[in-house]
Amino acid sequence: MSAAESRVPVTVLTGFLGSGKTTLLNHILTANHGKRIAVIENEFGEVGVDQDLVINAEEEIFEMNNGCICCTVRGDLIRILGNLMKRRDKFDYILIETTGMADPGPVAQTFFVDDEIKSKTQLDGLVTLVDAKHVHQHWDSDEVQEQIAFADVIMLNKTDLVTPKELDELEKKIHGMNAAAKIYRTQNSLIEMDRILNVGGFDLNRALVTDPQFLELEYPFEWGGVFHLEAGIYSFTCQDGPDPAMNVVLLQTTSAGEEGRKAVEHDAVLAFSDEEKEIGSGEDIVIGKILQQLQLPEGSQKSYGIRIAQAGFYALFTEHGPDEFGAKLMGPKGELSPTGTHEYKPDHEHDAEVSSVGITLAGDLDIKKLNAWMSNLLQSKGQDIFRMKGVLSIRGDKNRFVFQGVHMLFDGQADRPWKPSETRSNKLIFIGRHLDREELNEGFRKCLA
Amino acid sequence: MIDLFRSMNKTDGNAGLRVKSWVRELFGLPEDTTVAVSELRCSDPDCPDVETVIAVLGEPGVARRHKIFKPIGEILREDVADLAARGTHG
Repeated sequence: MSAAESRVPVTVLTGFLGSGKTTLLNHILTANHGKRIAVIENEFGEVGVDQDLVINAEEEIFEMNNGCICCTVRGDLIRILGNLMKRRDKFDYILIETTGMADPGPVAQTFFVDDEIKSKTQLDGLVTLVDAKHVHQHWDSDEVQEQIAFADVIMLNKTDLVTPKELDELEKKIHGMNAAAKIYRTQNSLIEMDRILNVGGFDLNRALVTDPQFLELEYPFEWGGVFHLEAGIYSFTCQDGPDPAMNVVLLQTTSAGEEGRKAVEHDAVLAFSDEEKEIGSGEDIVIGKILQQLQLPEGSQKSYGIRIAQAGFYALFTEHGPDEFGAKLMGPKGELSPTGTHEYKPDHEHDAEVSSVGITLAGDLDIKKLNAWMSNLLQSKGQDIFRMKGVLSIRGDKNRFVFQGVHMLFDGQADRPWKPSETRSNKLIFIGRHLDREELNEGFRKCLA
Repeated sequence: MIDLFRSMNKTDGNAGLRVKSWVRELFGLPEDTTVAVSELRCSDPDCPDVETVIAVLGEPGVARRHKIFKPIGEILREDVADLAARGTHG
């Protein structure tokens, strides 16, 4: 086993008081995952199962270098991890439960500053629990914002206490703050273990599981949903609406619901960038990556055929919300209801101080320009950049360069070679406070060779 | 300016362990004293390009910091001995 493989993975649980951290911790400890877990907890004696390795920590912020935020770590964790590693044979995984008011920055940085801790442990991810019912009372808190911004996984917990609409709005707001995190909706902190353990949030080899192309995409459609259709003839009907035409794309997909919609979302985005084909009333909407513009003349009939040869799941993406046109999909037995529907809002939420900026840019970068820009950026904005990660294409280098960082701590390495079939391009994401989207895009663009 | 993209200094942890053992030996510290050793390449204009910070964490809230302006892998026993002789506190 290599040194890297033998490093102990560490998951950090954060979340405001009452968000369900201890309940989650107890689920993890009793789940049948075959791992022996050492727990470091900040809130006393709440773990409800027999555990040999439950260690209480008292938060101790320690500056490795006076006054420099990037060198601020948790002294208590350094001590505890050092002692734990002497009992390395007793456990396979480390869980750290922080207090509700903990700043995740120093916790994360603890795993990057000490040489020995870096070589023996691997920070796997930060899991943040959000109390869907009460988080609104704490939006102004720096801790809540930072816990969301730092997270690899966000559990919107206690979803049974809010309405679906409130939940959608909350999820949208959180996604605007941290577009790189996976968001799961949960009740009683129940979640599948593989969604929170071994997620590889700080693993350079998995630096961009989330494609930032989608993080910031201004979607060209406002609505998408999946229909389960048997073979046969259907009709898509519209009433008078605010526009005389509407673009649509209809794609076959793999499953119902959100999963099915997301599976073909990318194809839909690409199709929407093509030239549209006009479809008059009475004509058919074709299945496939073809942008079709339904002609919607006011006052006359607006009905379009859909011929399904093979039963299955079909995702429809529409330029405007179907409600605006009273649109319906009618089958032999009447109106059909879609699953996994989603309203895509082209405008970003700008009310949150904390946000994510994703950049996707084709081409090679000039190493000198890039270094100057990134160094200057970290100097001037490092305190406000909570996390960043990306894959870069550097001129003259046959390998991809992957990097990630926490505040001003930067970690990067050469990755696999670019494949001949691949377009050399750059994808990166910044998550932080007061980020200037245009300035970041413009600055990065100037680093092109 | 730090070269972020070329000079990443990867160590296997042995350099840190070596420095820690010298610190314990030359500072006369008990074996269970927590010592953190960190090579910092900080972009802050007030920080040097590269330095190794050695922190000796005693009782909670009590810590001493020492600095050597070298990458961790280049630190020699004499460097730590110099620190111990000077008794420098950061």
